[in-house]
Amino acid sequence: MADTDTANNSIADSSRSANVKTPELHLRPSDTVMRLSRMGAFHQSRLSFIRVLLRKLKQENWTFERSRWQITANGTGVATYTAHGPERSYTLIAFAHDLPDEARSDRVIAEAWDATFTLFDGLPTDEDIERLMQQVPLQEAGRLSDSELVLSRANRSVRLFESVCDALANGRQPDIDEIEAVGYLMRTTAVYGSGKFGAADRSRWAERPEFKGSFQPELLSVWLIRTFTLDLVEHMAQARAPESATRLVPEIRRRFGVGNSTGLGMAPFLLNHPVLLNNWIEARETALARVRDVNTIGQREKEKFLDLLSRVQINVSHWSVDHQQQMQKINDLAKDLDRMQQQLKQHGFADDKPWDDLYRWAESMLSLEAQEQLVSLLIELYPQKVDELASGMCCDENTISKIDATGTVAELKTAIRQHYLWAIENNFERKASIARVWYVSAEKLEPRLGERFEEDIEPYEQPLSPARDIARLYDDLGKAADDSSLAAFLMQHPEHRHSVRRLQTVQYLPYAEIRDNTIAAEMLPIDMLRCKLSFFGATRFDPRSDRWVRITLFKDAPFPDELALLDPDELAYPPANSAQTVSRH
Amino acid sequence: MSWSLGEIQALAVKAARGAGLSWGVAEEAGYAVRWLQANGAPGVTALANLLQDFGSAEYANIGQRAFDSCTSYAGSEADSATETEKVQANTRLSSCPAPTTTSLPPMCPVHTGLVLSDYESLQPRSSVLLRQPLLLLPFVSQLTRLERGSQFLVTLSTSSSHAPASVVVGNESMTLLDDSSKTCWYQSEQGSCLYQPTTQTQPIQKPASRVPNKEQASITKLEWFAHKTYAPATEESRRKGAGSELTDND
Repeated sequence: MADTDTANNSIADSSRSANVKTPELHLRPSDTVMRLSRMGAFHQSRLSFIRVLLRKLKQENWTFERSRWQITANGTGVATYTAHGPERSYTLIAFAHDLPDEARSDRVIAEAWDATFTLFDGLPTDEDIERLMQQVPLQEAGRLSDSELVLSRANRSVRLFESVCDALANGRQPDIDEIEAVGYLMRTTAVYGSGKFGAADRSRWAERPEFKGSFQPELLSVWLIRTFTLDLVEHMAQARAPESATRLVPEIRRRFGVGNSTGLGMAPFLLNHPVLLNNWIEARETALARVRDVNTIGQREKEKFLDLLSRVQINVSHWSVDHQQQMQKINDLAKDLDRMQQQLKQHGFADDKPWDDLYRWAESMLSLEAQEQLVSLLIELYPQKVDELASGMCCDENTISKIDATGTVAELKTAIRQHYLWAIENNFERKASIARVWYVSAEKLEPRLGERFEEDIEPYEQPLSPARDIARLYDDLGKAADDSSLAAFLMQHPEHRHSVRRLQTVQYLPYAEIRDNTIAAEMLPIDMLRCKLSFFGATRFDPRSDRWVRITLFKDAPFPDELALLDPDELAYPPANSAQTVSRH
Repeated sequence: MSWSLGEIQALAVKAARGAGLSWGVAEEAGYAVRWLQANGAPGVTALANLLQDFGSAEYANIGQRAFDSCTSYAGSEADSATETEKVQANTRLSSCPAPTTTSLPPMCPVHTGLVLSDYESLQPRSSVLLRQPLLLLPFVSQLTRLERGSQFLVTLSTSSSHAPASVVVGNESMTLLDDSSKTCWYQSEQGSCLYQPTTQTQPIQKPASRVPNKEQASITKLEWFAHKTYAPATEESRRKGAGSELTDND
C-alpha cells in the first residue's frame, strides 16, 4: 500500500483533534481508509460513542432512578428516568401512546408513534411535563426549549413485543432465538439533538465533561429508552396476568437492545461535517497504529485476542439479514474469521510486532468486513493506549471558517492537485459519474437521492458532491489567469465559495473527505450509514435496501441499575458460553 | 415559543439559497444571521427583508458589482483600473461617503461583506449605499480574526433623520453605543458604513441563545424562501428517493 498521503502530514490546524501521535506511527493512508466500500465495513469498537458513554457513566459513579411511572395497564402514559452525575442530572421523559397497527411506520413521513421521548436538562416539574406532553408527541411539528436536549420516538417490534409480553404474562421467559432474531422491543425512527425543533443548541452543553465526544446526550437518551421498553413490557405482562406474570431474568433482559431505523436523512451527515469525520476516523486510525506498533506480546494478550475472536464469531453467527449483498458479506466474514483462527492455530503470533503482522496478513488475505473487524478487535486489547483518544472525537462547528482569499489562482490549483487529485481524475462527462442528485423533498424536508437524468430535480441539488464540485472549481480555475488573486476569482465565481471553503477547511485533515464520488450511479448510501452507525456503536447492521438500514444499539449492555456491578466493555461482545443459542434464519 | 440559533442558521442558509444565492454565499448569510441574533440584533428580519427586496435577477455578477462599489467610489478610474489600482484609489478615500452622492443602486450587504472579508487590505474600509446595513457587521467581525483582540468602530449614515450611529464590533460581539444608534442599526433599510480600527473598549454583552418569538413573521418569510430549495414530491420520488418498498413493521 502506498504510504505517501497526508495521513502523516504534520501541519497542524486549529480545528484538528487533539490526538497526539508519535512521529514513527504509521497511520493507514486516506486513500485506503476513506473509501465507501471500506467505510461501509466498519464495526463498533471501544471508541464507539455508546462504549465511551457507558465507560464514563460507570467511572463517574452515576446513579439512576425511575422517577415517575404513570403507565396504564394497556401501556399508555408518562414515565421518567433520571440520571444523576457528579454535577448535573438529566431526565428522559417518555410518553407511551396507543398506536393502531395501521398507523405504525418507520418512515419520516409518519405522524404517530408507539412512544415519544425527550431528554430534559435537569429535573422536570409537573408544569414541564404538562408543557412537553403537548409538544413531544408531535415530534417535528412541536416546539422544544433550551431545557430539552434531545427529541426522539420509537415504534414497537409488534411481533416480539407481543411474544415477550405473552411469555412473561404466562410466567415464562421468552424464546431466546426469537429475541436474537429481532434484537429489540422498540426501534427509534429518529433521534434529534443539537438545536433541532427548538431544543438546546450544542453550544449550550458541549463544554460539559459528561458530554465530551460525539452524540452523548442522544445516546444517553437511547440507553434510557431501552430500559423504558423493558419496563413497559414487564408492566404490561404484570397487568395482563397479575397472578402468573414474571419478570425477565437479567441475562435474557440484556439481550434486548434498542433498534434504530435510519434512512437517507443520516447519509449527508458525513459530508456536512468533514472536520468531525476526520476526528472520528483519525482517533480510530491512531488507535490502530498504536496497537500495530506494539513490539512484543505475552500469553495474556494472545489469550485475550483468541477469546475475543471466538466471541465475535458468535456475534457473526447471530447476524442474519435479508439483504443479499450484505448476507454474502456476513458469510464471507464468518469464513474469514475461521481462517484467521486457523492461521493463528497453525502459525501462532509473530515474535516481532505481532499485531502489525496479523493486520498485514489480513489485509492481503481477507475481505474488508474481516479486516475492519480485526481493527476493532485489536483496538479492544489495549484500553490504556486507546481510550484517551475518545476525547478528541468532537469539534466546534459553530463558527464558519473564513475563506483566505489572499492567495492566487495558481496556488489554489496546486492545493487541489495535492489534496483532491482523486476527485479531479474522475471523468464527470460520463453520465454514470453524475447519475444521482441529492435533494430535499418538500414533503417532509428530508434528504433524498434522485436520478439526474430521469427526474426533474437538478435545480434542487444539495451541495453533497465534493468530488464533482472540486473538479468544476478546478476547471474554472484553469480558465483564469494564474497570477489572478483568489479574491478576484471568487468575485467572478461565487458559486465556488462552498468548495473553496471546504478545501481550505479540510486540506490538512487526512480523513475529512470520503474519497469516492457521492453522486455516482453505483454509490451505495448504506455505506455512509454503516460508517456513522459503527461510530455510534451499532451492531446487527441490517440493510433494508441500498438506502435504509436497521441496527441495534446497546444490545448486551448493562442496564442503569447494573452499571455499578458490570463492566460494559466486557459485555460488548457476547460471552463465550452463549454459542448454544446460535440461530440462523 | 422560541428558536435555537442552530436551526435559525440552517434556515437562513436555505432561505438565501432559495432566493438565488450560491450555496457558499448562502452559508455566509446563515453565519451572519446567527452572529447577529447571538448579539441580540434582528438578523432574521434583516435577511428576510433583504431577500424580499432583492430579486434574484439582481444577483447576476453581484460579486463584481459589490467589489466595484467598494473600490470605485472615488468615481474616476473605475472602469479601466486594475484591481490593485482600485484598491490604491480606495485608500485615498478618507471619510464616510454620504449615500446621496452615488448613482449606484443599493448593494447587497452580504456580497459587500464578502468583498471586504476577501480583500483584507481594503482601506479605509468604507461602503456605498447598502440595503440592510446591519448584515455587514458580521463580516466586519470576520476581519477582527486577522489580528487577535482587534476591534472596529462602524458608523452608519442614512438619509433619514437619524444621526450617524456607531457600534463597536469584535470577533464575537457588537456593542451599540446608545439607544438611538440601536434604533438606527436595527431599523435602517438602507445606509452606508465606515469602519475603522478602534481601541475603544466596550462591555461585552451576554450572548443570546435563542431567537425570540417576535421574529416569527420574519421566520415565516425565510421559510417561504427556504421552501424553494425543496423538490416537490412525486409518487416516484416518494418510492425511489427514500429507499424501499419493504414493510416497516416486524
